Amino acid sequence: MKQYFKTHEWIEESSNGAYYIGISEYAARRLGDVVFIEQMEDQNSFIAGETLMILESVKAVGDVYAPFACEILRVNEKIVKTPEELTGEDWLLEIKPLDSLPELDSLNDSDYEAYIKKEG
Amino acid sequence: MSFPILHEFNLARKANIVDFHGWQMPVFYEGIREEYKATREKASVFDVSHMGRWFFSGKNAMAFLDYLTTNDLSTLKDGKALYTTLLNEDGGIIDDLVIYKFNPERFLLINNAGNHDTVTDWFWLQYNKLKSEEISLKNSGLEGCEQSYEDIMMEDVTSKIAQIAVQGPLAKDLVNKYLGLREELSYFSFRKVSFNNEDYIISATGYTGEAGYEIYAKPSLLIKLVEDLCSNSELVPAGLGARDVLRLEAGYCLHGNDIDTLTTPYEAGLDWIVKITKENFIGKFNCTRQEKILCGLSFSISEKIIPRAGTKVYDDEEREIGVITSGTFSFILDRAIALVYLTDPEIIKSIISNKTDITSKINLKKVSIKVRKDIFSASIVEPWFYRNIRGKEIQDLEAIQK
Repeated sequence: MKQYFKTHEWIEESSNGAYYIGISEYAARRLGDVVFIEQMEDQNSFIAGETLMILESVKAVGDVYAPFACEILRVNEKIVKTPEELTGEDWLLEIKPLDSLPELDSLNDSDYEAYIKKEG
Repeated sequence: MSFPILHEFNLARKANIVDFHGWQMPVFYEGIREEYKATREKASVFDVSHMGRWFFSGKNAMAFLDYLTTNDLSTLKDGKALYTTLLNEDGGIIDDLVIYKFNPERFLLINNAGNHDTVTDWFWLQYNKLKSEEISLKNSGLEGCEQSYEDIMMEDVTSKIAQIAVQGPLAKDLVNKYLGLREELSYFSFRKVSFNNEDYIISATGYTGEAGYEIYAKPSLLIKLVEDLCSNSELVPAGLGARDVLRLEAGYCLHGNDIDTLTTPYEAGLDWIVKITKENFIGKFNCTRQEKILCGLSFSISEKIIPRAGTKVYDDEEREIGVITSGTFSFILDRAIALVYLTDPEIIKSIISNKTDITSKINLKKVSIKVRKDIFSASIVEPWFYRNIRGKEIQDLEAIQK
């Protein structure tokens, strides 16, 4: 099950205690056409709140924030190569918590729905 | 909060809507890229009812407008429009306008939505100066022009007469068919059309670098036209996002970004719409100042960046030479592009003395910007990239960036 954050990322458990991270359908739509995806080269471990990836659209820049201290296991190369196809369904990175997972300030599906309604 | 005429239509189509100078405007419907593509390949429609619209009429209207603006209305033929600027006394651009001449005593003037209040105040300020004889139109160079404010009528028709832009290679055909028109209007020509006993003004103008029309009529007529054409033809609605990419590729300035009251038309490359030999107009004695020069900036295809306004530009010795005012990703050129003001006095001198080729005498092939920790390289080019109004014109960026 996906867990959402107020900064519009979602995470979903993959395997071996790792997680996929993507951005919500709402965020993908607000961002518009993503043209480039910038990765943080030379950096593999991140503290909570640090930028994992930058999505550049024609009209805006969207940062994908680390929801917890983590390292990157895998990048979705298909989306990096064809960023214009990014939707809320696609995962961007597979990340693994560096420490035991702290309690996350996350929202479930319906709470996130309610949150974006209030915001937008 | 103001709503463009297609607001209901936009809500029904789930457009992504933002506040634009107090107007609830669509940024995109399906996506910027798709709407951009429709405009370049077929046809799209933009709701531009947020722009300000005025009728100026009366015997002295032309002399007054010629005094207010930089281009020359007296030599303009009836049925033609022109692009012009409205300057303050310092030569700074209050707004850029399109003025349509029906006859020497009747004009339609279009100003930017974000400047409507400023422009309104400015028109009335100048009108009142005329009334109190602080200024005179006697020296306007126009025959028979008297010192009279009485024969100048200014009517703000923004809410009465709406405006849409239908742009793209199929645009004119679609509209011609809808309104039963046979003739082809040449660029910057316009005419009144009667259709089902209703009046429309059809004008071969636009802000996309494509051929097409801008259409003026009562709001209800234009809403119907858009609904009919969007459901029965290849016309698709497009938002401000696509419009910005299109205008930037065409090298059209956006007031508030690329031009403002601190910028002269000579600095913005708009000297072609300043008729400096005109007897008198506001800003005449200060508008030729060039403390900066507008140029284009082209990034190599491999540079994964979208240049944003306010980003500084450096030469190959890391000296700051300018600042970006608009930037985007050009879908047709498959690279990032921008408009930039070069501010280095030596470079300005060099460009002015060698106007035809800005990259030949100074080394501006290799400039760069810094974004976050990274450096992205680019070349200074002419301030336009692509147009397809009377045939395709593309700036040869490869030759410059070799």
